[in-house]
Amino acid sequence: MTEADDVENLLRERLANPFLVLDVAPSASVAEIERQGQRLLAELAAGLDGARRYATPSGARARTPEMVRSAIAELRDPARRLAHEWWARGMAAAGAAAAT
Amino acid sequence: MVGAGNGGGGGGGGDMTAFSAMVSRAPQSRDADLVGRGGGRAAIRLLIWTALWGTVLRNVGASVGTWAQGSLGAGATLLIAVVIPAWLFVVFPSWLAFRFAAPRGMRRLAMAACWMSPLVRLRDLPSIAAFLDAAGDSTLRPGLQRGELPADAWTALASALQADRRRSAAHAARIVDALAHLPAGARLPWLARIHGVEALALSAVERRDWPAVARYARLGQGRLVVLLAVLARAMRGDDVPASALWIRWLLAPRRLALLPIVRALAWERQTGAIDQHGNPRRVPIPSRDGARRAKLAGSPRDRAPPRVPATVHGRHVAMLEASARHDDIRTEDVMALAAAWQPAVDDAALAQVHARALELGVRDGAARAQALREQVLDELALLLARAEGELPRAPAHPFAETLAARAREGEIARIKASLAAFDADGVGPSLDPLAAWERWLVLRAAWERAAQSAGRAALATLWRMSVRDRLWGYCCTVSHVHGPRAAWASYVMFEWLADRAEYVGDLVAVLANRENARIALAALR
Repeated sequence: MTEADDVENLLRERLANPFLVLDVAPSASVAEIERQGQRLLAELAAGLDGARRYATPSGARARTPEMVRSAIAELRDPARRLAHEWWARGMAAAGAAAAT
Repeated sequence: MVGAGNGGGGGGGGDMTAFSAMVSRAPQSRDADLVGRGGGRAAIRLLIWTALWGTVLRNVGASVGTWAQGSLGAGATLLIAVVIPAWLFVVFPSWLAFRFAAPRGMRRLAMAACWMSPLVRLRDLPSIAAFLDAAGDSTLRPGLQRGELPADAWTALASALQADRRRSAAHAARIVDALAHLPAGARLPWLARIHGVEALALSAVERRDWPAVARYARLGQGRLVVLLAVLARAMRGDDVPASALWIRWLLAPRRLALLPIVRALAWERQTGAIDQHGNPRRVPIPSRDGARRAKLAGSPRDRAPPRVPATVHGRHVAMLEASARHDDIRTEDVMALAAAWQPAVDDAALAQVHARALELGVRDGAARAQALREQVLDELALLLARAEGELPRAPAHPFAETLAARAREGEIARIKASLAAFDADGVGPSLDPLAAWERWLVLRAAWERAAQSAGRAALATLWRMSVRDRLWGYCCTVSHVHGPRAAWASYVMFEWLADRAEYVGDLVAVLANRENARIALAALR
């Protein structure tokens, strides 16, 4: 794998942060995460346009049911959640600052 | 060729003081036969030129003389008798080949015109044919049909063009960088600088990869390349007046194809739709065919630089994004990002992460927190590997110092990893000269990067332990196996070897590889 591939994979990983995909705050509880995940899956199954994209610091990106399921699974593991939460807090703050 | 040899049975790069002659060159009779055939073709070519242009000149002279009946002045006579025939003889064939025949897929006509052109050497014709095949092929074959092709500037450009179309930007960039730093004596023909680089830059324009356009344009020359360089600067947000754009466009060929881009940029300049930093505002492009022109010109999102995020995490993601887009990023920007990261990954910050880990019930919280710091360091080191510029000799803070050390280790590791491909025993007729040269490009790129940061002592150790004998033997084998077809590539590689040997103070290798380069250069002429 080339360095270019590494950079693209890293970027993809950052922008597919589970908190961004699920559109929940980094401080969300387990129950809130599960509820939001199920809601998004239902909306995607119904073909609602609003569910098809999610916001990132680099603009809106496509959201798929697989991404939603993967995000829920990632946040169920406390160790993985810790890392995702750390990144999401920083990116959420960046997004809020940009919005103002 | 002069090869490396072990003195006194030393292994692992120990006593490399003796050197011995490698296997002899190809038999003289084969060379003489080739010279004879090549000389015969050149003589026939010269004969046909003389006959054709002599006939054309005579007819033109007779026709004009009959028509003018002595009424032409000195200027007109000079123009008709000297300038126009000179243009016809010197410039017209290459114009016919590259401006008329090649873009229309008339390959045979293009090759015939190249044969007629005094600007094209006979030995370059197969390489030019390969380049025209690569330039005209929109179906992206897996690779050039290399077969009996030599490694030279034309085939290198063809390979770069294919790499660019495959979006292997790193491979294309390595080729272009090597072509931009050829040793004196290695030919990059004038027509290759114009038409070869044009094709490469236009390929990047189609992808709207303006940083790549700027990189490629530095290698070339000619009116179209200059226009593309100016467009790339304008897209980057530099202050390029609309008048300069239009003048360059008027002077360049392929004006119709580039009119939408130039018009869009010039309109933005003229209407002031540029913000105070020289960035295009988000305004629609006024034209009848707006969608197509917008596509050619690039969407505002493509061209407008991102706002600088407020947090270090946001800046980090923004830099990853810039790097993934192959934008030019500078070492000093990455080091500035590292400085911004320091308070976010220092002991106090990681203690907060540890506390959060305890809340979440993570068992090895401290290790997880430390892993985040390591993750940031690794990503910054990856960004540094793709950044332009030297590492600071004395980093300002401990985090930057750790990062710089990690970056240097990474550079050395990349050199060692690239050495795996340099097995002289593995070089045979199946590894064509161009592929052999491209393998060397990977090592060259890794070495040049490391030279910016690792320091002479580290590189000298690496040279003696791993690089010297392996690469030297590889280059000698390539030269021996492929002979004149690899002469250009061998010359470039031997000169590079000699320069690096000089850098690390290996006098034996300097002398031997200068001699090898001289032998390869003689085969080029």
